[in-house]
Amino acid sequence: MRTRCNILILFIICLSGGACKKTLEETPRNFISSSLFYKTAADAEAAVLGIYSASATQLFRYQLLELHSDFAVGRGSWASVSFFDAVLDQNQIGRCRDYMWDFGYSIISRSNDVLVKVPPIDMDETKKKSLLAEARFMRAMAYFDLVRSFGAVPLRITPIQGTSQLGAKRAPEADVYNQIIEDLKVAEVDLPNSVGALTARASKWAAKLLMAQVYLTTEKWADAAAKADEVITSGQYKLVSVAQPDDFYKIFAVNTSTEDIMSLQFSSTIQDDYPSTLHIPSVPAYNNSSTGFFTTVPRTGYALTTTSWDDADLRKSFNYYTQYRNTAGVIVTLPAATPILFKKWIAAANGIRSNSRSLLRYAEAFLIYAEAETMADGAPSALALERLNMIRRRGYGKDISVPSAIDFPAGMSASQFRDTVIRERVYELMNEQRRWWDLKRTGTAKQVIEAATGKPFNNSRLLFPIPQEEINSNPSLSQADQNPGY
Amino acid sequence: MRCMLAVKTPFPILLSILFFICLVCCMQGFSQSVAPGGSDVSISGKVIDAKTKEPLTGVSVVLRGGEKGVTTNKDGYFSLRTRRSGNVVLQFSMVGFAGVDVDFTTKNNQIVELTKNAADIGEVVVIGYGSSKKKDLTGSVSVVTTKALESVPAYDLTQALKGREAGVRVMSNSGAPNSRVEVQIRGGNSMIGNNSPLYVVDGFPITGGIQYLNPSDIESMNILKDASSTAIYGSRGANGVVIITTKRGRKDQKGRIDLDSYYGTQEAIKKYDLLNAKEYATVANEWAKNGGVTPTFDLDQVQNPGTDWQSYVFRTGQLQNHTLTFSGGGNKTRYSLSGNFYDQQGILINNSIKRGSIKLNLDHEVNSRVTLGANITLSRREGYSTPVDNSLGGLITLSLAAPPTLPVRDANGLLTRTDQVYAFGNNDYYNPLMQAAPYRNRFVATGGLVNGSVDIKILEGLKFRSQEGLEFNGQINDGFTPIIWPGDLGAAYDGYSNTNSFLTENTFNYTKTVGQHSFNAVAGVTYQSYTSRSENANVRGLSTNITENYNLSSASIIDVPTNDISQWNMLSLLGRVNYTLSNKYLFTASIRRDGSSRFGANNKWGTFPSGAFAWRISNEEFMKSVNFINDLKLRTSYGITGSTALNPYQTIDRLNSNRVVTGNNTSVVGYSTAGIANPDLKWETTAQFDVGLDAAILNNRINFTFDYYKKNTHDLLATVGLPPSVGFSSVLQNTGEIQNHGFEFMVDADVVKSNFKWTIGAQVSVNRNKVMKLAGGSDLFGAGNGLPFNTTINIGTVGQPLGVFYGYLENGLDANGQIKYVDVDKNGVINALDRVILGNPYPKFTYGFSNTMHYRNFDLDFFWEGSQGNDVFWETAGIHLNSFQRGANQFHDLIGNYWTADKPDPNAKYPKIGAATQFQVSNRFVKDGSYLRLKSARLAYNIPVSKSKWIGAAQVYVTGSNLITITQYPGLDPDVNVAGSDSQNIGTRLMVGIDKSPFPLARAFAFGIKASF
Repeated sequence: MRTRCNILILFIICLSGGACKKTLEETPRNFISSSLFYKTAADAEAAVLGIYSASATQLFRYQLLELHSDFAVGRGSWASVSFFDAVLDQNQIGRCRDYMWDFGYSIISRSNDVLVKVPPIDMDETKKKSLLAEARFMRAMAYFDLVRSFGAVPLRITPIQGTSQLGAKRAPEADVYNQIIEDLKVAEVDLPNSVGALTARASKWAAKLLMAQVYLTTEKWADAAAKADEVITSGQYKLVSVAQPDDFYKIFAVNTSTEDIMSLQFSSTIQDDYPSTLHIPSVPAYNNSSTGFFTTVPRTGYALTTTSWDDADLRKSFNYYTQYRNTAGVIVTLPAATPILFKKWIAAANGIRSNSRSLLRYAEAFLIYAEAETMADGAPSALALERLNMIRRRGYGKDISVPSAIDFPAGMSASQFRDTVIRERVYELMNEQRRWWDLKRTGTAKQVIEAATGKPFNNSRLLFPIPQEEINSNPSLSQADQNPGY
Repeated sequence: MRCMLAVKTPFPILLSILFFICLVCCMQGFSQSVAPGGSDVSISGKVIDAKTKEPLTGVSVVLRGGEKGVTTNKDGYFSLRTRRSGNVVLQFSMVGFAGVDVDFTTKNNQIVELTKNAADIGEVVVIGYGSSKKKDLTGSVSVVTTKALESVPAYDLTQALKGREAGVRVMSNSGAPNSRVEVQIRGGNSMIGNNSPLYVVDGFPITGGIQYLNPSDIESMNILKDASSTAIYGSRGANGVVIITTKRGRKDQKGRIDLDSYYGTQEAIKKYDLLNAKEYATVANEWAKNGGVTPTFDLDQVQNPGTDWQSYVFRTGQLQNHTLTFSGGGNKTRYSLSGNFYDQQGILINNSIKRGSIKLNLDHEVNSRVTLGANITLSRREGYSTPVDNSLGGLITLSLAAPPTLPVRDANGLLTRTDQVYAFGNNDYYNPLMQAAPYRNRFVATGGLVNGSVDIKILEGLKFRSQEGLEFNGQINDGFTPIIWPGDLGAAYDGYSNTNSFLTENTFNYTKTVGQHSFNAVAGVTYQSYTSRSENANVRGLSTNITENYNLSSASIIDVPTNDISQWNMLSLLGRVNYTLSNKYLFTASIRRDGSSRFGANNKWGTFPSGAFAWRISNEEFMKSVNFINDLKLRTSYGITGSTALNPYQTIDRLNSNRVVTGNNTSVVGYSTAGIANPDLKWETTAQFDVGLDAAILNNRINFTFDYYKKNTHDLLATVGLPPSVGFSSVLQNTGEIQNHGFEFMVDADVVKSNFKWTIGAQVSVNRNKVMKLAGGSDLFGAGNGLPFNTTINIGTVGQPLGVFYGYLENGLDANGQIKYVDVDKNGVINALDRVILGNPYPKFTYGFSNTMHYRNFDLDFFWEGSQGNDVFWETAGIHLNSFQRGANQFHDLIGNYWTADKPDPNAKYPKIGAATQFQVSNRFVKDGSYLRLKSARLAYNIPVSKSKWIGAAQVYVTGSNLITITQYPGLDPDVNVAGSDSQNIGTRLMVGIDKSPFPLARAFAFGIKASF
């Protein structure tokens, strides 16, 4: 009894004296709070890895972009992305928000955190500069995607403090591009020359190739060509040689290769789901994975990517498959009316989707150089033509350095040559999410999509809608800030 | 007990059973010890009901001192002989009646009157930290009779509560065994916090569910609804409180054994009418034709009727429940020991629940001042389930979607890959039998409640009570997805979680009556803590099916294990004063102060006061002449209660850890800010006003209760939207207001009181929910609920109930057979701004109507319940219509009702069948969910046993549930339609009233026996 009374008395004392304050304090055990973080070099490293981790699971972002093209069509719940005569429906608007806007700004906010909270950490200055450069690189890459997707976007370059700085107007596209270039100029200096096999992380050359893309998009032709040339001549990378279609798996079914500048990397526990969007499950030898919902399929009968694509181009048979094994185990050649699926990204032989997926690939530097140099000069130079032909020769399984019968001829006009490069980009970079940006930057989206679909193109489709959540919660935006059509 | 043993009851429990049985026998031995000799005297008498004056059968009559015990015969007479000299005092007891001691020393052949036990007739009501005579209640409290709970075969008591009590809405999120049942008292107050009432079992505020508890062990259940009764529970009182008291032995009660056993079956009430094979092929070809694709089927080759996939997933399930209770009591010690075995197979394959439980309640008077009490409930539950509810990969969706043209198994005897055979197939719609055994998703929970108390009489009228308890649950969640086809990886997981909650409560209770003034005061301090831990391991790439999930390390892919911990503490002070003047004017005031670790650093303590006043009009002089009114009481109350909507650690700024692969197939950990912390977070506050009237008229034959209430909840915990460009989509704040108001009416009447007895009870509940204020004034949108729509269906907007349906209005079909929508804002395009409110998921009113009839040896009970005026969003239809491109089968209604190029009817019920045909969230899917249902019916025959020495009572009965449903609703069950979750994501929580192929309720029939010995 005495004990009971003692407990009671104890409680009463606690309550009056506040001695029980500790009882009501929370001690988190399974997470850390920010007051205990940003203290050491290891913390700085972990914070930078935190930026990269935002990109780990975003398969739908790549699917959404790939479906914005003339040669791919959505299936199932993705079907309506391909209805270019109409604006995006509510389902796809939600996907634009989740996978484009929220994704991009999540990387930006994490980068901003690093750029403010890492500098005061007492650590090796070179390492610190390199980490900060990675944050700048990731921020630039995120803004580059955002500005191409949505047009003018809020430009946030510092972390938010409390809820007092929620407002941000849509910054003009030029301002966004200036910020991107400013970040990349720092990044290309401070980033490491090589990241070895850890190509999920940015290197100096990733920054330079990204700069080349940015200059190409903003039509700063000479700058684009110069940056692409720096990458080509870096001595760090080499085009993979190909003799038969399956040799392309040396680039696309591996963790890294000699032309891998930057990739999304995966493991058995963090798998790449993007191949699932392309494939039928369990159909060896094209898909070793038991998962697949083939919601991104090739456009049937589209000349550019079917009949007028040379069968001798090994990339054609590498990119499509035309047979599958049915449930009885019989290999069936798909009827012409049935979609012939994409097969570029596959699961590893053990069924795990752990192969890396390129974000920045050495081969693209050649194509950027060819296009940009020609546009800068007003006519294709011999080097521009040669670099274009190197990619083409590799596509046909030829020796890249030896002139070949399939080489493009000299003497094309600048615009003919550019069209040729853009077309070559379709074949080389299929399913690497380049086509929509190419159509947009060349101003050909309407014409090409209309030709492919036979239906009018709704111009509102050129920009994704600003998420309604942003308009509702951002005090500097109003409904008038919405992109046309939404 | 044999059935008890049939469950894998842990060995220690068996030991305890044996131990307690021994203990019980010993006590019986004690009370029956023989006293010294004397002359042999015969004592006899008769026992009658004090109220009805009818003879009582089976009353236990024991000579004080415990020499002999007999029971009264069917006419109420008893007779016993004793050789004792001196005082002869007989003790009379019977379950349901207050025991009395009557001195027979000088007077033999007395007529003894027993008064029905207070709890059973609702005269004494257990309330928070005490009890009160029902007539002295100042608050709104519903007393649930145990009889109501017994009439429906039910796994947990909330299922039996449906429709019974005014103001209590029981929503089945699913009809699956052991599924989530959502109970709301007087509407939902919270947007993202819990809306369930607080359950208090034998004084212990339960932190987990009450599924561990066998409904037959419940003696009484009282539902506290208004603020004056719930404010004593402070920051946990806002959603109402359900006070459950379990059965205890009675003082001087002869030992008895009660058996309650039933066995039955369950089956589906309804199945969908789908296309047969030929119709499916026809529609598939139409789709192909409209898409310019070669038709898949040669109709002449298709054999009707094809596979009825529903028949492979639905089944007739067995249902059985057996409870054996031992109870009794001597002068100092009382006991009640029960064992229960419950076993229910769901009406869908691979869904079932079993429970074995044992409960012991012991009371012992140490001396005239000190009484000890102990309650021990141990329970083991084992449940199997498959995905069903609200999920595209659920059993029902899969069985409705599977093509009738395909067999269940292919030529090799493997399951047909229904998702791959046709080019238009989709892996969302795999073979439903992939979820048949050996596929497994199971939980095994072992837990219970152990509670000890001591009551000390300090002075006359002043008592001290200390109660210490532990609620615990250890649970294994494991699962196994077998390798079915070559190339499958297979998967398995094993998870373990453990929760426990410790409580100590110390209260003083003082009662004093001085002339016209009666006082009662309660004051106390309580402390409760909670800890939950869990560990999970997932693997894929099984090397064999043989070891299932019992050898995780043999798998080729072993995911990073995860674990979690969550803790909270709560320290509270409470007090209440009741004052009654002249038995006419009753006042109650209560206050509680709660300090909670879950509240933000700047708001650790909250204060919750209440006050109530009741006027017993029938005791006024001027009412004395109004004879037909026996009792009339007007009550009103007002108070502040809270809801701890917060989870632990939500107020703390935190970093998330995320894994990322940088290369070499190896992941590393990165950290990033999880969001914007808010140290000001606190409880949600509800201010409730209640005015009610209790009346009994016509010689107490008709009792009714009327209540009007209005609840305003402010400081709602809300995820306030941030512009996503800051990197986070929302921040938690206490902002926003919701109002619930409504009225409740209950009536009970003894319609016929003669040899034939007929009692009816009815209740009507009306609640109106309204969003009063939202953060920043912006609307809240329901989250995308996956395919088929993946977009908002419900909206929260000021002035409307929380979660009204929101979408487009259809306007016939266009020239291409595509659906046209109404351009509400007339801007020429159909966009998000053309969406309007389409319907209301909340009923205008809900009601229940019960009948109890008794004639000779027969009892007949039936109970109707219903809901009127609520809409249901029939997303099941959307799944099918929006998915033909993915090869799903369709409802039969499609045939002859779709648009074709040959017959382009702009008013066709269904648009052109084609890949380009998309359905949006529209009024097409909003259906009237009103229904009236014969929830239960029970016919019992009481076997005459008065001649038997050892059987006290015996009854056999047949019972059925969900027997008749009257509704216009086209889905399987209008009553199971809530996406329902405890998520703190407002988008998820807003998904209410959506029918996405949930597990429907079953129609059950059972045969049972009740006997006492």
